[in-house]
Amino acid sequence: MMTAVTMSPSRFAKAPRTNLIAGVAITSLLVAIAVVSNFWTPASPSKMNILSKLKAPLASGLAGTDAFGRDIFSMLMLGASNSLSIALTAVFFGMVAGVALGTIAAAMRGLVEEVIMRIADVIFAFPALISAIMVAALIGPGRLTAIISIALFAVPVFVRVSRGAALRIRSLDYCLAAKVSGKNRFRITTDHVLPNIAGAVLVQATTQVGLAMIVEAGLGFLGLSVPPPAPSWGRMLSEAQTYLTQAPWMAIAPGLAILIAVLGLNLLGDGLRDLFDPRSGSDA
Amino acid sequence: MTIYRRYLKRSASFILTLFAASVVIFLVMDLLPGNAAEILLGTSARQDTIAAMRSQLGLDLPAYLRYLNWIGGVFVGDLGTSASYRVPVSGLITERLAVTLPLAIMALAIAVVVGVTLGVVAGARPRKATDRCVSLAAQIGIAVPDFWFGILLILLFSSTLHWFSAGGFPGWSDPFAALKALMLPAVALALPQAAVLVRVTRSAVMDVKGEDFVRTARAKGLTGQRVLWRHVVRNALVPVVTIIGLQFSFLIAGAVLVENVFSLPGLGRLAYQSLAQRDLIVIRNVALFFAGMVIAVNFLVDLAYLWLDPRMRAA
Repeated sequence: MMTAVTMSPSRFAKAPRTNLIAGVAITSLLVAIAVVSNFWTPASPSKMNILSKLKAPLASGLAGTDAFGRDIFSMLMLGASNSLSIALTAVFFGMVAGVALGTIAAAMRGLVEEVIMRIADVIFAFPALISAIMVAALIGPGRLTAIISIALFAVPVFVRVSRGAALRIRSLDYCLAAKVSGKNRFRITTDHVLPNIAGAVLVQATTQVGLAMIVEAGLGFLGLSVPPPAPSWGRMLSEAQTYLTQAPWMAIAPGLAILIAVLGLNLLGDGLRDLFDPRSGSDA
Repeated sequence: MTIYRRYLKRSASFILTLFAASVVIFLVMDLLPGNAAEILLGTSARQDTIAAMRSQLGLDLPAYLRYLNWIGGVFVGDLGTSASYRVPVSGLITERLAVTLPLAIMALAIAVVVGVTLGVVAGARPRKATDRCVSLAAQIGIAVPDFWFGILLILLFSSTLHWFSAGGFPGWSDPFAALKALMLPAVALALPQAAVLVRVTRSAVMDVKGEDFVRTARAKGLTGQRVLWRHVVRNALVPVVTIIGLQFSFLIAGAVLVENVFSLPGLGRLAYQSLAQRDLIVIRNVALFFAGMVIAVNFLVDLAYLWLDPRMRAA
């Protein structure tokens, strides 16, 4: 028996927005800190002051100082800018390539679709850190290595999401009508498919930026992301390991920064999904 | 399409993907500028020294022969000799696998037990207090980087409580000590995986609870717990198995980091150390091994999917 699924406006209005509000608030704060850090930080993130090294939070600065006497809070602020810019750039390129391939697969079907999906499978077989190690072996560690490996890692995710959503849209009546009226595959994709899968892609992109920030931190931890003296949350964690007993805040602060940033982006992703597709009901 | 043809098609796709992955690795590591001889000897090396090293490594052969030599070696277990360790790469990988494989299995086991149990508990009574607590914990768990969680575990259980060592691996001669050394890394690696599984299981349980056969089971007079575990959970496991396959890639990436945090002599640490030593032969083979593992696990998940859900066989 077919059941008509309708969303009454009242239920839509009552859909929980906690995720969205919390996500927007945390992510806005993250973006604001990342932008401001390029103009102002409480102290210079690269200025060493051996006399005030390993000072506890509030004894010197909000989050204390590291082994070189650098202000951890200022390093965290500029680290947010580095991490977010890498994650956004990588996800953007991964998204463009992935959505292009996914929508082409859905439009062409047959052999083209099969080949694209197998390419996605092959890329997916390389975890970002393994790609990064391979890329770093060729061009050395750095921002570009991080962006390439995170972007590659995002491609198959967007291929799958956009292909699935595009296939669903293409089977709907208005796409069939457009086909009957003589529109070609390309026009149907640009006029009908892309605008209608934008929501699903945006939701995925938001979550993917969060994931990319975790991966970037991992790359930074291994020294494969931005080189010193540019602060990186991952490298701060790596340096903190040596002083774990003397200065635990060195390890706690960058990890908390990653946790809060990723949590904000994930909540934003969940909130957007609830907004675009209230039936998914991700909110507890 | 018969079930056998479907199995056959998946197997062909598995072999093709493995082949393509090996070609990608070969192209990246062997054909792009900056070949292994130059990288090993450095930019200041004399041209005749580089030429001799190229010949020794077989780099003067045509590309297709180099590829065939490599892949032929993979089939017979001859992966070449590590430039930095001066030992056969196959032995090196086997030795390191004795750490990484148990670590991955322990982490996966912890993640599945914790993730599925909490997911079922949360999904069984959605929007109640337990569900809200579990869902919040899962939301936070997904955002925690596994290597940072590892550092926090060291801070608590090694530096403060002195229950576990902060790192290192004593070897399998003392299995208890070996398992103890892998416990904190496995927990660190399991946390984000468990958090993802909680969310997927919860959502799958909620979906299956609304199915007609569950209503029928209830109408037959079965108790709530029996309906939950025998009918709901069993069917909810289908998407969960798929996610376990997809998450395996993250487990591998996490192992590279967690092994470095805990100074474990595993495959991930080997890949990282080989990068520092510019040992391209090791990187190439470890990358193939990791990619092969991800592809193989996803292939097994595909087969499990066919087996678990009879509807897929006819699809």
